[in-house]
Amino acid sequence: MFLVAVVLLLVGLSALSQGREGELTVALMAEPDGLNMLLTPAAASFQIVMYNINEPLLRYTADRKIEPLLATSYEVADRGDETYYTFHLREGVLFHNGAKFTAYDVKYTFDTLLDPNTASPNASLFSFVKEVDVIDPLTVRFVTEGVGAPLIGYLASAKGAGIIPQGLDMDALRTHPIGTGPFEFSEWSPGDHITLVKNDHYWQPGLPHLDKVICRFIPDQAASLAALRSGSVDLVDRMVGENALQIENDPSLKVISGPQNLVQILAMNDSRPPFDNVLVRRAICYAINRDEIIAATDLKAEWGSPVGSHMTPLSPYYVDLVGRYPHDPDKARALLAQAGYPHGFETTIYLPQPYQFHVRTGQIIADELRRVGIDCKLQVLEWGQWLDRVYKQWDYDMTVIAHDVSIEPAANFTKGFERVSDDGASTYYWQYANPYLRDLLTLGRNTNDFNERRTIYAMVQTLISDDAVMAWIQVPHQLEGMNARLMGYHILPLYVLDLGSIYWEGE
Amino acid sequence: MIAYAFRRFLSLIVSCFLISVLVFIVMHVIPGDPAQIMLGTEADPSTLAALRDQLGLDLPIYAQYGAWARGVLSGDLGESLRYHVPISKLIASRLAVTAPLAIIAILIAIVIGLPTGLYAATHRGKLGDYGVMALSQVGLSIPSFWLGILLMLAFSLGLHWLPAGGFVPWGKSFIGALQSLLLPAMALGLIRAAVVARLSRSSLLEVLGRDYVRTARGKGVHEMRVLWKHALRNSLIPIVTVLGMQFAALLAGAIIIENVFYLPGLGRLAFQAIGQRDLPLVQDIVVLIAVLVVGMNLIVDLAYALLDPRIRLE
Repeated sequence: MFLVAVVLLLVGLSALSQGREGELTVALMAEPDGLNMLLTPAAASFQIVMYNINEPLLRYTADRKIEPLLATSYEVADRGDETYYTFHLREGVLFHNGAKFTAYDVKYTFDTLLDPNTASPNASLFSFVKEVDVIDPLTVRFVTEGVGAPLIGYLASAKGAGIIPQGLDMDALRTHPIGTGPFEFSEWSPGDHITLVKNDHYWQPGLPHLDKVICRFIPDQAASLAALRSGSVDLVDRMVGENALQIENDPSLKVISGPQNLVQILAMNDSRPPFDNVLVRRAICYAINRDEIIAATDLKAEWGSPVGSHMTPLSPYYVDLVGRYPHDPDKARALLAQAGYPHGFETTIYLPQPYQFHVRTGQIIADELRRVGIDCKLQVLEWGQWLDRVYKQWDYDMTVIAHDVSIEPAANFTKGFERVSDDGASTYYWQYANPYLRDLLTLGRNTNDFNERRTIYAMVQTLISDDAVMAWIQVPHQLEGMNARLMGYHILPLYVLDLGSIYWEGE
Repeated sequence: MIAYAFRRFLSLIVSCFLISVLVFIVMHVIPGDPAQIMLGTEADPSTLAALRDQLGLDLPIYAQYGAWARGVLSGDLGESLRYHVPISKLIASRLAVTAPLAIIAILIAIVIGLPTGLYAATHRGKLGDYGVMALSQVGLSIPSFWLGILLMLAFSLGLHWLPAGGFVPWGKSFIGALQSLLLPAMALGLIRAAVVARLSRSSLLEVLGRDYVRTARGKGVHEMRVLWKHALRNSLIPIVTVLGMQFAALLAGAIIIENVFYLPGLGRLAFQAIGQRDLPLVQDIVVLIAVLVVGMNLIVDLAYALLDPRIRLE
């Protein structure tokens, strides 16, 4: 009886605790491991920090254009072996701690990022930056080795490009970030939520619209769907297709979708027989039916786009090579026979357990490969084990995973295609090395001419596709489930939740 | 009694030491590198090496254990590799969720389980008894996460009475915190109520058949007094044992229900820490749970003496 009374009391009181104007609660799948983007490579950190707390000099818009942010304009000057990029900075911008934003902060950010003592996991993209010089408090100059063509794209999108105030302790910024963005960090309850509050002194008048944003970490998709339906969260980031299908017809909720900068691949260990034989790799590419995979994993044809190279269709440098390997099991069998495997072979696909999307894809691929005679076993590995076995020790045959891909093409090829050991062998887990490809990539970094770069990266994509380095499968679309009254949300071409423009209808 | 408690205390320390060594070895034997997990697929080898060095992962295994053990003995639980905050703070904030959750669940188990068990025992063989037995059989067979989802569907999504998950800190709203714990506590507690009901029924039936109960009845003592004064107290021992162990298990074992309701509790922290190979955090939580389980058993044993003066602890 007592219990019943308590339940009724609590239930009665719950009605009073509802209602929160100007507040937004977001469900995120993964939690940051730190909020100082100079020290962490985590996408979960980047998603919250970039554009919201720390702002870079430039930014990407939803329609994939680069716009000024903390810089108002820039000039490029060719100086032979090096190039000068001079940025004019915005006046009157304040950091959340009250300090004035100047060129010294830009220099401090990049000096610290590139300092080997910082050991930043995000430094390598900027390794071609030789120095950053303060010309005057509102003018800063980046000096790059060679042409440094990717700089502009990186400054708008790379981890570590957000400006931090000079002189602050790197470790303290991990748990209490400070920037110039529309939101200030307020609180982090590890394992549960991070709270951001409106920056009252934000330099863009009228922004942000929200007073408070609570980012809740809910790894379980069923739990986040229940939270959205019950109103305890307003937006579920990166929803799975099943859940998006369930809320599509609910008039109080809506789904916003669009292609994202993520490419799902079937990676092969190119140095291990039989995958060292290009004919085998091509056979596998022909055996895979992307439409079947998209139908089974994304659940709607428009929630996934097939891709045929290591780039996102969002990039102006993307070349559509899906037609290079149409689904053709007969051709796959013929190629296998030509490669010396008329009866196929036995192999294993290692799948990362936390990513059920990839696990399901792997199951379908195994089935498709069996149909051309390749006997695929599946082994699901816990994430730590996957990283250790597949990514670090390269002890695997095939795996399904997704890679972050940038609109700026140079970023996509540096790690996986350019790094080699002294004897020229690949040091990346798909074990592909090609000196001609590396020359092309060097050329691509050393011209600022868009058409020239386009041609070079088209050649790069055609080359890796011909060599069937891996089987590129799809760009799964980003599905954002939210309250139907939530406005101003747009999907960016990078892994960032852009909170500044979101507002409640009628407020 | 004091000598007994002291002996048990010593064995608690030895158990915890052995458990900590075992966990340390297991965490080092299973594949997975904390630095690699933190950096994910984005890191190059030089950054990985720098981070490993920074985290002290390159030290020999005995030196790593020694550093951890020295810290714990001097009251410093260390810092989480992932969150960069003192572990004592992390664990304290998680216990503020899990301990009340376990207490409410146990209360629900007692408040529902004990009276129903008594009712069934005193109405043995009648319809009510069969009803209780059937219901408790259902309760025993349902996994708590499934019951949790059912409760969520009914009370959060259907009736909108209680939150579907998440936790409102105690400091912010006491009522809000209770509300966020109510459904998960019911999911855990109702199932344990079934255990308590069955156990108290059988235990009471056994006692009711004893000579001294017959004597009391023969003397014309009122039936209610027989039940309360003579039978119930003597039938409580197995129930207390089970409840004590259940409480310790709840502190450690609410992992699944904490995930269903995304409560920031100790179980979920342990689960995340293992996935992230956050070695010091895993060590500290496991040792804490070991202390709780072993300590709870000790308290239960000591409670016997209070319930039944004939039991002497030697």
